[in-house]
Amino acid sequence: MSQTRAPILRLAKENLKRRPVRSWSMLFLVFVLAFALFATTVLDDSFKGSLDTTLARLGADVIVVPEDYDQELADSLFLGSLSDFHFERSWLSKLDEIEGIETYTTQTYIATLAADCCSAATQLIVFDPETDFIIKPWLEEEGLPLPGPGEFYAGWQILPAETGKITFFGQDYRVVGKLEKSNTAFDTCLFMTQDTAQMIMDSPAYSAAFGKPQARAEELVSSVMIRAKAGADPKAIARKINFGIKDSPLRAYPTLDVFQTFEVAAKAMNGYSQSLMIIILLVVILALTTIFTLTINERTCEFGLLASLGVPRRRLGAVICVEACLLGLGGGLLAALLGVILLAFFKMPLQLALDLPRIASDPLYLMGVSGKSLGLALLVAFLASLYSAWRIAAAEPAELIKGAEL
Amino acid sequence: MILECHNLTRTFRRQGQDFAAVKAVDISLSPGEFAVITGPSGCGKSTLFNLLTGLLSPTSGQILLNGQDLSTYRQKQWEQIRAQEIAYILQGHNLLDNLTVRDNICLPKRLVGLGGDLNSKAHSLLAEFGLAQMAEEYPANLSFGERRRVAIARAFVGQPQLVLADEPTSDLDPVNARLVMDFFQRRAQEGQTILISSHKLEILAPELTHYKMTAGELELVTSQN
Repeated sequence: MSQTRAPILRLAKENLKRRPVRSWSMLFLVFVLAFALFATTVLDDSFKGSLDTTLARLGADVIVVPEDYDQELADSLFLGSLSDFHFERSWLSKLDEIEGIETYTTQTYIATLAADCCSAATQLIVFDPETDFIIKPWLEEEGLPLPGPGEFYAGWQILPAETGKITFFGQDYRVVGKLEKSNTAFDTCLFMTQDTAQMIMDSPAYSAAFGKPQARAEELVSSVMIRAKAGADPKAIARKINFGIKDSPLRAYPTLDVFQTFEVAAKAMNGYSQSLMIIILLVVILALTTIFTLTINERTCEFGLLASLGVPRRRLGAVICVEACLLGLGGGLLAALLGVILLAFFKMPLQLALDLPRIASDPLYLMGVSGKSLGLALLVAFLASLYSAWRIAAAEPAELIKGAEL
Repeated sequence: MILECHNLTRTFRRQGQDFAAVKAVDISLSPGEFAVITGPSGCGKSTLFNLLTGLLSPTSGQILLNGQDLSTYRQKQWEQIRAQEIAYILQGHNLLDNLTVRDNICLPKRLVGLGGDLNSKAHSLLAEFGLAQMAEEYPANLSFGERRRVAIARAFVGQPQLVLADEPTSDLDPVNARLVMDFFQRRAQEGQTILISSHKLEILAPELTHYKMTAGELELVTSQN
């Protein structure tokens, strides 16, 4: 058999090469299927992956924000939209009375403007170095010191116009380092301590834009990130905060609930993708099987001739299957290539156009997705050819020679 | 005897009735014999050839190749016979359009597991037919006569014992027809057994064995032996 594998492959290749219209038409169908799988997998994984990494990076079990600002916070943390809401720090003392809390830290959000006063419209996050368990460990992981007054650490995607310098509200500040890529909205933020925040709020341009600040930076809090004690139920902690603090302007949410909209969206997206894939799969299998059957009926004389020369019928069937596998391989490879090229050159425009927080594009990951798409393309093409291969192998050679319809 | 048939019959169902396309045919060929079956179109020549090559199963009768009874052979066994012992040149255009002339000759043999230097044999046969320069051409670029000669070259590349050719000279001009018949004659003289069919009597020569087929029945007219 090994002596005949190369001739079967050779015959299959020549058959496809000499019939380019037929071959490319069938390859295109396979390409559509493989590309659909590639695209839906990347989009689904990107969305879900962003959600998972955001939750992991936060490390908080409960988040406290001013009432009705939970969605704005989620949009900020997940989508990177700009937020600028605050409540008074004095309310934090009430949290010390809540059972089940191991530790908590505050963050304050300041949004800059896309205007002459600022390098860009950016989210600034003020963190408290004494209590922080989100930004500080991140800096420590990378061996970076805390930022001083007038200093920022930039998220991975921030690119200052001049290296090390950034302007907000008419004043220059130093960017002393850049954090590693986190695949979260933090990649588009700048991080600072309260000293720097106060410098911004004191600037005349800030007052001109937002009015004179009514409180000092240290008195303003946008969100509280709470870490629960081992064994404590985040839902129970949230309930205690919501119902146990009288006249509170705050609302507490288990972290997962804050992102529930996105969880639901991720599940819905996954559901739509799977439904779409099933429809495309069925259509492509049906179309390919039909095309194979139609074209094989046009080629019965060709196979009859080979049968008259002593070529075993099972090998005639094998030629058809090999033709199909070559089409599957070609369509799958083209789909993977297009997917990778699109991501390599158009990732950001795609991200913006599709309104995704980010798109997964790690090379190893893409290799895996490409392999999956290629595998499906091969499998579908092979399955679509089986009926025709069987009909040819089962037909009487004399009938094939006559060109009888199978 | 290399080929013997005894009482070979094949019937078909046509318009609700049994129709015998081949009726009780007896034939016997010796090694190196060159035989021609003549008869009008539709008399059963092609059906007989299909039976002798296992492409059709007989309704009754015997086919013996070198004394081996092939009448009860299964398809798989007949495939081996067609690959190695018997070469069949079909009527009409019978080249694979997607392959070059060289591949048309060699690739089917490789598909049946035949090894060796097929390229040299192919080149030698093409040269014998004056087609050596056409080796890399596709059938669409060949004349009808050239395609027929390539099909004949393909039949002989594996050096079969017996070659059956269904109307090999039909639709050929006299020059090409003569070329083909001379080729068959040479091969017969070298020991290969050749059986051809034709509806043209002008190809007959005294040194050939002549059978006449009429309405499915075969009659020996003259014998070479």
